[in-house]
Amino acid sequence: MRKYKILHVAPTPLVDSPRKISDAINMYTDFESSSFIFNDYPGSLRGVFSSNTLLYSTKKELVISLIESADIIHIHNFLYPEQEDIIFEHSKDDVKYIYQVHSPLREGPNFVNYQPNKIEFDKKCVVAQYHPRMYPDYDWVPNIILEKPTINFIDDTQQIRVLFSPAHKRTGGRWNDKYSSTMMDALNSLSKLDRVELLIAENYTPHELFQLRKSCHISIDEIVTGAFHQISLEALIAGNMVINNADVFSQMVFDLLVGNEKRNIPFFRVNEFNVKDQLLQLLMDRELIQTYQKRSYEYSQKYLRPQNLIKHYTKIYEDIIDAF
Amino acid sequence: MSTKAKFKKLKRDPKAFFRDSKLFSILNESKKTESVVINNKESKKSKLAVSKNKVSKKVEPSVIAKISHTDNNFLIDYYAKKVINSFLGFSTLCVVPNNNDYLINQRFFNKVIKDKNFIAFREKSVYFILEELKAHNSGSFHQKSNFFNLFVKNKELRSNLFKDFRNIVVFNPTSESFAVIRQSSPFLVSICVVDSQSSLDFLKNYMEHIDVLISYDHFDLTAFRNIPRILTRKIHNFNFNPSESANILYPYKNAYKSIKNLYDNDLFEMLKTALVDSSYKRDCNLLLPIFCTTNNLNEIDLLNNDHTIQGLIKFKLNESATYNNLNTMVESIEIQELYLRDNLYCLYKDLILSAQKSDNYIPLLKKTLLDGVYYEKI
Repeated sequence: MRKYKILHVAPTPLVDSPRKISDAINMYTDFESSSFIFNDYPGSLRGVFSSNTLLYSTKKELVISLIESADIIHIHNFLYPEQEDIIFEHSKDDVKYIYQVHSPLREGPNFVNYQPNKIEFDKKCVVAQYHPRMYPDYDWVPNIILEKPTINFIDDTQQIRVLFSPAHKRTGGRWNDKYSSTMMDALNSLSKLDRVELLIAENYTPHELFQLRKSCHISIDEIVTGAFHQISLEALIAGNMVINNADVFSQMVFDLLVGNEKRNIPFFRVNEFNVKDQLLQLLMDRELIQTYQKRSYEYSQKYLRPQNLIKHYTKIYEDIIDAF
Repeated sequence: MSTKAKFKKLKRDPKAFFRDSKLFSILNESKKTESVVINNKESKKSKLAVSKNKVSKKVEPSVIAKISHTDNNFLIDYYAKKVINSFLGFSTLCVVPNNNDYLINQRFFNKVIKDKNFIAFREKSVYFILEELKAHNSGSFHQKSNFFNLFVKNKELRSNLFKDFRNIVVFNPTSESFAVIRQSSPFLVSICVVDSQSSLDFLKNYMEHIDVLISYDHFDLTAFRNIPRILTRKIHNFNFNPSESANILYPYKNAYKSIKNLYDNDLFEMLKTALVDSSYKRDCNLLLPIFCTTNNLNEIDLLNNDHTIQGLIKFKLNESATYNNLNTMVESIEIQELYLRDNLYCLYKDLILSAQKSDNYIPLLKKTLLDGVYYEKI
C-alpha cells in the first residue's frame, strides 16, 4: 500500500501542537508525516517550543522538498499571504489541503477567520475544546499529548505542589486571557502555608514542563474564560488534580469526541469569585486531591492515549484520500 | 492652505469652503486635545488633567480617527490615544463618511450630544471616525472583503485601538469598515442605522457582524431575522420613498424637514434603546428565565451571585448519535431550561422573542455560543 505523505505547516510553533500530531501519525499510523513552522516565537519564548520541528528560514531546501512531495498539506491556524504563496507554488497539482483552527475568532493575534487567497481547503477542522462554538461546522479533532499517563499520589506528609504555567500574560480577549489577579493573590497568600509549594513556571520547554508537572499534585490552567487548554490535558496525563473553569459546552465537546459517555472529565472548577475559598478548602483536604489525581489518571488511560486520539486525524485523511 | 488659496476656494466653491473649514476645525481640535481615561485606576495626575479638561471642554464630538481605502487595503489614521467614559459602557464610535456635512457638522450630533439627560449622548461618550469612502462603481461593491488580508496588512487593526469602545454606530453603511472594526475587539457591539435599500442590500454580506439593526417598517427585513436585535419604526408625515438611496440621513436638499423628521420619528429613541440595551449592567444583572418547564430552581440565588455564569441551561442530548461538529450536536439538543443574564437579554431581545414565538431556541443557543456566552448546566 502506498504511504501517503502528510505535511503539517504552521506560522509559529503553536505551543508544539502540530509537531505532536505529526509525531503521533508517524508512531501509530501508516501515514508518513513531517512538520515545519515559518517563524519561531519572538523574545524569551524563542526556541522553547521549536526545538523538535523544522524552521523554514534555516532549512529552506528541505522544507521545499517536503512541500513538493506532500499528498496532504495540513495547515494550522493560518498562513500569511507570502507563506501561502510558497506552499501554493511548490505543492503538487493534486495535493489536498486541510485546515485546522487552534486559536479562535476575534482574538489576537488573528482576530478574524482565515481566508486564504489561493488555497481551497478540502476539509476544515477545529480543536475540540472551547473553539468549536466559533467554528460550528468544522470537524472536531483533539490536541495530542504524546507522554504516557502517570501519577504521583500526594501522601499525608508531603508539601502539596501546585503548578501554574501561563503561556502568556495578554489580556483583553474573550478566550485568550490566562491571567487572573484574583487567583494570583489567592495563590500568593496560600503559598505562605507550610503545606503548600507554589511553582510558577515560565519559559520551560514542553518536555521540561511535563517533567516538572509529573512531580506536582495540582495544575492550574486558567479560570477566567470558561475554556480549558492543552495544559489541562497535559495535567490529566501527569496525574495532577486539574483546576480550571471550563464551561459545560467546552467539557461536553471534548467528552463527546473522546467517547466518554459519562461526560465527567475530572476538572475541579473554580472561578474568580470563589477561588480563594475553594483553594483553601481543597488544600486542607488531601483525600480530595488524591481522588482527583486518581480520576485524572484513569481518564487519561481510557481516553487520552495518542494511539486512540490520532484516529480522528487518520479518519479525515482517509476520507480525503478516498476522494482522490 | 495659504490665505490666497483659501480666498480662491471661497470664490470658486463657497459651500465646500465652509464645509471643509468646519471639518478641519473639528479635526484640529481633536488632534490637540489630550484625552484622559477616567476609570477606577486613574492616577492623581490624570484626575488633575480631567479637571483641567472640564474648564476648556467643548460640545463638539471628538474625531479620533480617519479611515481611507486604497486597493484592497484599509488605512487608519488614529489621532486619540484613549477614550473617555469607557468604563460606563456607553462609549460610542460613529463611523461617518467624511463628506457628509449633515452627520459630521453641527446639526445631527450637536442635537444628540445636547441631550444631557442621557449619558450615552454626552460629549465624552460619542466619538467619530471619518471615512473616505471608496468608489463603488468597480463592480466589487457587493463582494465580501477578505478580512484576514485586511488585518494582515493593517497593524492598527491588530493593535486593539478600539478596545475602550462599547458601541460602533454606522449610518447607511456602504463599506465594510464597521464590520472590520467590530472584528478588532471581542466586546464591540455594532449598531447599523439604515434607511436605504442599497445599504440594506450591501449589509446582507455582513449580517453576522450586525448586533443591532435600526430601520423602518417599509423595508423587507426577512433576511435579517437572525440579527439579535432589530428596532423598527413607522415613518409619519414624511414623503418617504424606500427605493431612494439614503434620503433621510443625507438630507442635503430637504434638510429642515428631514431633521425634524429625524428628531420626531423616533430615530433617537431607537438609538437610545440600542445604547441602553448594549451597555454593561452592573448592580443586579440577574439570570432571567428565557424558557422554563419548571418553576423551581432552588439554587438560583447562589447562581445569580456567581457572575462568571452568563447563562444556565438544562438539556437532553441524543446519546445514540455521534457528533463530529458543533452544529450537529446543538441541533440535536432538547432544551429544557434556559436562563440568560439581564444584559444578554437586552442584547438578544429579538432573537429571544422570536425563539419564544416559534418554540425553537436552537438559533439563540448557536448565536450565544458563537458570542462566547458562558453556560452552566443545571
